[in-house]
Amino acid sequence: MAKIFSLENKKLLLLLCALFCCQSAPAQDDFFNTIDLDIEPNASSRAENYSVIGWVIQKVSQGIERPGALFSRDDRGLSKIETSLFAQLDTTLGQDLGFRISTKIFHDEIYRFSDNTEFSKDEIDEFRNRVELRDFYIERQYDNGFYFKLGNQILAWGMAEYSRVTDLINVEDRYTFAQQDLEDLRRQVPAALLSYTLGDWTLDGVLTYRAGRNYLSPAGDEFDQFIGIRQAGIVVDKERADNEQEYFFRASTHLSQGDLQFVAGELNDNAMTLRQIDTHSMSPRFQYGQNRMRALGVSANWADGSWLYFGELGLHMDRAVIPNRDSIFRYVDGWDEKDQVLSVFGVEYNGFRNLLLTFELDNIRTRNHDAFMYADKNQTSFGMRAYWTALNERLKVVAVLNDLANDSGQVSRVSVDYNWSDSLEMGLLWVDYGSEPESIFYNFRNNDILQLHLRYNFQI
Amino acid sequence: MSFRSQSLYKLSAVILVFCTQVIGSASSNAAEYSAEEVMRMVDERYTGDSSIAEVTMVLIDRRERQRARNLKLYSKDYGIDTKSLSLFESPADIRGTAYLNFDWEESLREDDSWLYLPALQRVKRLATSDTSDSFLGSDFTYADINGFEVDWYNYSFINESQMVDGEECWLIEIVPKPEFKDRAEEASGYSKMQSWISKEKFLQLRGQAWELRGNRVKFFTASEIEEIDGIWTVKRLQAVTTRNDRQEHASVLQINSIDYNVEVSDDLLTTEAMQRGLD
Repeated sequence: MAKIFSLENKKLLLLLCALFCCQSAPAQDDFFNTIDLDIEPNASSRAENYSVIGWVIQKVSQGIERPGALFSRDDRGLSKIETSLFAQLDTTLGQDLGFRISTKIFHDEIYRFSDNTEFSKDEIDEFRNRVELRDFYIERQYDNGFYFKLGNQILAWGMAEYSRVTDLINVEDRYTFAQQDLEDLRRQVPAALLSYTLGDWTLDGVLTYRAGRNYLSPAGDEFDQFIGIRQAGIVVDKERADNEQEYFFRASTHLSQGDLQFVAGELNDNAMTLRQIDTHSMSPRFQYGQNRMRALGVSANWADGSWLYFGELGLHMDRAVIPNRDSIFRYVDGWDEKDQVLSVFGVEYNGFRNLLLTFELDNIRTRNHDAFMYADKNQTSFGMRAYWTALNERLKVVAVLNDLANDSGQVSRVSVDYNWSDSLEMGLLWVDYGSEPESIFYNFRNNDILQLHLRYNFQI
Repeated sequence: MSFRSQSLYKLSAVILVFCTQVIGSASSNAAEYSAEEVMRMVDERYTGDSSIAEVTMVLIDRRERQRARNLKLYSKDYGIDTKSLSLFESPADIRGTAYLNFDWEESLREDDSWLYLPALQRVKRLATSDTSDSFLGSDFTYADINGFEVDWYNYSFINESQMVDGEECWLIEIVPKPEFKDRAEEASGYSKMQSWISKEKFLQLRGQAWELRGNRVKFFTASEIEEIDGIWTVKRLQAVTTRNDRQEHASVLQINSIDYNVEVSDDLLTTEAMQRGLD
């Protein structure tokens, strides 16, 4: 008691009182006072007939485990020091004619930085130094209800997140699994789209030419899907599709609280399938290509209060199916083609504050299933996601668990992003891969990463 | 009567909620109105048959760092139903994001809402019932933006003549009716509200709302009120979130320009148009 009234403590007491007074609650009316803005509210940039947006992303990844001797990087440690630049130009060439071009450039410095890893030429040239043309199209809206779009484009038709039932047009980025940025998930393909609105229905016809296949990791890289085959001394050849034209049709409409669409297509499977085995040379050669197939599908959704239900049902005809390991050399003239029925049921719930929960159940049922197939007759898988925002959306957290179809693997992913300002964002990503020894995915089980990124957005 | 809309990213409604036509003889008869009648008159107002607006939303955190979102908003009335499209123009990472909402007047029919995400180039239907969520990361909830179900609340005058910025106002307390308490609290996230209504313009000039959780109170301020095409328009709307009498976060919604009763094509208010760059 005495001490508290000593001179020093009186000063301290006064200081505390002063601090307390400074921080005392303002009158409530103060909260109605006008707040000064540093940012000048501006008129729309759409007054201009062009816009340029883009961003630069710097990523640094740490491999948490040792991928193993099969891969170029066989030790834990830095796995990526990637800088990427995305830029997009939109312009109008008249009242009803638009044009877009976008590009993304990648450079991963890891091959210079890491002394312990011997990267192949393909890994450096094809994957770690890339310039990609993304959107590159013209579009025109006609007064009579027709709409035409020609060029490199994305046409995302499906509703499912983890299974491709009706979303079949675009190829996918498979350089990695579950590490891609959102804009990299689907890749643009050269296509012509003609749409026509007829009453409540919209009819779409699409022709693609040289759409290609999924983007695959080069030999030796962490997600080289042929790594096991190469390790066995087999040479892998990748061939173009025999028929490089694909056709798709869609009829879609909106109902009260729901949407409905029907899709049909004749297409090449975007995943590579075995076409031929050549055993005459010194080393066996596996020739991979794209299987021609046909697809019919329907998808629908329905919103009810805080719930959104969605589903897809599709028939994929003549789809090439992977044989089990013991039967690989049974199919020297290519894998068997089977019809598959694919179904998806999903539900989304947004009843909790600033939280969105999604669950999706997927099934693939193979007709005329036989004992030589790798996958079961019924392959059931699921995906679940939680998306939470806080601090007035400065902070975004996404957690995903995906039990893979066609396999016994799982991918878990958690990302945390913090929006420092309109132009600057930083984030942390953790991805974990799990699988059983018999899984095709087993080789990738040790590719878990922890990744930091910094993103700078710009707009002209 | 319902103007409880379950919309996400719906900004055009801001204009509807904070605009109203001059009600010619209202002021002279002001003394005859009950608190509920005042709120119904604020609700039942003409706001134009269509509109195109350019809006900036500024988000201000406790360290006074500011972030801005620019949007272009299209809205069109179809009898008693309303369709609206919100296009995000900046910042760069959300440019091209579009939100389409069909607001049906029929009380049991929920809104239809879709979101277009440019990163995925995909249109997604939304389940949009939770109106107590933060709107665009701002201090406004969807319920603040879209209004509330008038029939769910009791209204009483706290003060029948209080001056706000030189204008005489009614100060009205708004609390949920016991039979609608759960639904009202779930929809709004508030236990009670207070509203300062201009007797001349029948506009809300100030508002105060008590959150159910976290001991937070929100303060709303309307300013820069102009009569545009015969419609009183609030061009600046501010919301401040406080906790234990300290400011946590604030948001300012600024209408840079607005045109009422202009041509808004039906083709623009479709999910197809969200994916197309032409507008």
